Amino acid sequence: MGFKNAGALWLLGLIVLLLFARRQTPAARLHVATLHLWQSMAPSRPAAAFRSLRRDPIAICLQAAFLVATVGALAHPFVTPRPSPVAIVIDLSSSMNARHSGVSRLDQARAQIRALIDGLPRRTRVQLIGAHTNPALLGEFPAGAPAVRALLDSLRAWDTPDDMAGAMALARNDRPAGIHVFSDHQRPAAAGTDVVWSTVGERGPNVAITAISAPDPAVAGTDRAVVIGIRNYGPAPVRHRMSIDLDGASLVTVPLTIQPGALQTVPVLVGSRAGIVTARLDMQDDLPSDDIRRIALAPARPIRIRIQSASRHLRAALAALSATIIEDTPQRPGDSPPHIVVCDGCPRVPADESAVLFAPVPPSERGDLLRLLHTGVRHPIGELVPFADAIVAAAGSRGEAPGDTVLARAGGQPAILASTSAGRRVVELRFDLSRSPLALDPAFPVIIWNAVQWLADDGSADENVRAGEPLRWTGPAGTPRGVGPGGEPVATTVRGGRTVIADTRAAGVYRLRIDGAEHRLVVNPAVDGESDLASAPVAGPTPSASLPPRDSDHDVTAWFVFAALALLALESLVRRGAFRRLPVRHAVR
Amino acid sequence: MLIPEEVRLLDELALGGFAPSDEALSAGVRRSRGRHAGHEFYEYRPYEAGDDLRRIDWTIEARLRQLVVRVARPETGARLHVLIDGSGSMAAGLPGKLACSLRIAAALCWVAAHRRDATAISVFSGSSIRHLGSVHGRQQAFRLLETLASTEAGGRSDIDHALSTYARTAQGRGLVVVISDFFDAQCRLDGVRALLGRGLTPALVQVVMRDEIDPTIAGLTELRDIENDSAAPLWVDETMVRAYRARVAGHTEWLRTFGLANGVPWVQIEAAVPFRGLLAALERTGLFLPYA
Repeated sequence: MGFKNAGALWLLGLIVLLLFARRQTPAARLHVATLHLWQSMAPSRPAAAFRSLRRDPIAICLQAAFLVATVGALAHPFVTPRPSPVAIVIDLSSSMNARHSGVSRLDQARAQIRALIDGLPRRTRVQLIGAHTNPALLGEFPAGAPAVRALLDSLRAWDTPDDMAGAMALARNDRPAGIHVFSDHQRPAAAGTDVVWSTVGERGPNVAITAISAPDPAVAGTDRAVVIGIRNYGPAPVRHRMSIDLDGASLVTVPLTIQPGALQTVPVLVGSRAGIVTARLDMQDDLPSDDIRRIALAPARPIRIRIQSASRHLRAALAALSATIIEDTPQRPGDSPPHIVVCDGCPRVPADESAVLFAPVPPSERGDLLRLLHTGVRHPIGELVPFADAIVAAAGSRGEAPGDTVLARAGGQPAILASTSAGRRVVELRFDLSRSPLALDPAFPVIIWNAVQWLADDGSADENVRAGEPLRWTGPAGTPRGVGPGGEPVATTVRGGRTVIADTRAAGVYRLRIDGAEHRLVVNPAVDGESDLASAPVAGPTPSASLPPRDSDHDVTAWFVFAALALLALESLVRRGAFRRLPVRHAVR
Repeated sequence: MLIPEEVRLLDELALGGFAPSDEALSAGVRRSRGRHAGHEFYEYRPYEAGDDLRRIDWTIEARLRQLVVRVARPETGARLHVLIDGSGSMAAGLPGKLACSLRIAAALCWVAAHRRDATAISVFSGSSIRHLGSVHGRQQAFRLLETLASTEAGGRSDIDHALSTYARTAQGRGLVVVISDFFDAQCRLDGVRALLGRGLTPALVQVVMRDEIDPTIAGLTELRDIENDSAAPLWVDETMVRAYRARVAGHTEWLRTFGLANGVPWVQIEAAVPFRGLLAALERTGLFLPYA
């Protein structure tokens, strides 16, 4: 409820005068012998009890209510119908950090949201929903509340990808009058007609470090290579320098020349020490957050590979791997189990091994040569593999089983599969290795190297965790305490013997302190769909035209006048004793 | 307390209201409605019209040629007991209820003395009873009237307790005239029942003020108990008068009904009533009878 003439409310102070005016003093004081006869009437007449007071509270209350109603009428009260909520979804993904002419896309979204809120009726409920990996309702406020603006100012974009579909689904939970989305992405086709999509930002050049990996297993005394992928999303070739350091100690600075849209892979030897390797582009582009990427190198540890059987090409690829120990002899009692068992040409996958690189028995006849096509599934085995020229010989047609991850297909049939079940990892190369040109292709050792790395990974640390994904660490039990990249404490949970940090919206180095020991874990910013600033945004108009119509105010002055008159009539009846006389007449009869 | 005009009016009256057994014990100083007579000779007096012809002493008429009648004396003392409420509530009004009560007592005392009935007067207040004296003849009556004139009201009312105490201590039978306003909140007339149980003949004279029957309340008025100033006051206004009148009427009806049910004469007298009106009210009750 509001008042068009709020100044009239000051007249409510007259109530105090009313209270003083109602203070009564007796007109006379009599000493009587029949006081008990006077008092005996009180039980049958409630009003008599009030007479023992100095004031008549019923009359005072009615008079005060009359005064309130009259003053309220003078203030011209009005009520505004409760409007439906308006859901505002703001993109908080990594690309919203991009700056154009000094203004970030998030700032642009803030300005548009403020303009939107200013145009809403003050009592309109506004739901603010942050869209990043895990969309969340940030708060619900009246449009006129300062808190909604304060919350807007406190927002920051994270290093995660967005989940606009999830955010819009969350917004629809309360059946809002409208959903306003502010993002630097184009409106998806499935957004729905109830969504007003506002695109912020401008096209801009950007160079990002999109991947960093250490393909070589750690072997004591052997230099390890870190492979860094840099992509130029801009329309023009760029020349930059990239510096690599290990735990802050500079290792090397690499000059780069990257053509438009090209991905350049840079291998760097970082030595044999464990630590965090940081690759950093020494440049200023529109999105600085993806100019740095890290990888945590585990301590040196050779990978023991026992070959039960292997074709010539596979054996050669395995032999080319460094940091591995190839064991051709059968396992003897007392030997520690190998990390990986290779079984090429086996009729079935060995059942008791925890990590198996498996290739089925090749067909007797040469199969068709088919192009190996990457399925697009993100998996460590497929990283940095140039699938473009890979040709394989078909080895029968058999579909994937439940739980299999198909990384590449040939002729529509699964060709490279990976599966994990109860801690057991299996990589299956389902093509004829001895007759496939892939075996002679540079992509093959990369695939084998990735497969060996993935199979040998015991899960003690996740080296490639993207912002927004949970960090998992396997190690001794204890009381963990997590510290974020900025030194802030982060929540940790222990599930199934693993310590998990769920909130990894900010990229950087997370520290996990367990019983005095500190373990460093790395989270890198999302780049897929976030770093490409050249193709996405086309800024749209401010969606003021689509605002819900402002609700009209209803003047309720007449109701206050009616209430005042009713109270006046009631007070008059009370003062005349209309209600008190009733029991008296009854007593006389 | 009595002026000559009032005395002259009283001389024309005799006490009534005695129970039949009491009247039998009373000699012919009063005009008796019954034929009962005393047995013990008391005196002669000149014959007056209306006297029982059987009481004429014909011997004397034969000797002296004068008609005289024999006056008998009761064998036991037939007494008039006058109990006056002297509590604080009786001081209300101008003239007050106590003044009216004393005039009634004086009238009863004078008539009783004039007719040679023994009279005892007491004043009660709270649980105490103060015996002012007994009268047996006019000379004693003068002294008692002087004592009555100096009586003042005070203390709390406790009619039942006072009358019960009097019933236990009174000797002989007789007429007990209780003069009070009967506005004691705790009064249930148990004291009157005690008098009846003792064999006495009570009569109730309620002395009230006009304002107590029909109060005049203008505006908000604070009422306080006249006998207990520390009691919580009550605030009333004119809207409550009507209900009060009904309540007082109920109280009066309660007294009247009690009298009818128990054969106890009851009369309500306003304190400001003139003396003639006072006598007329007492005559209507039967406490006074014309002596003619």
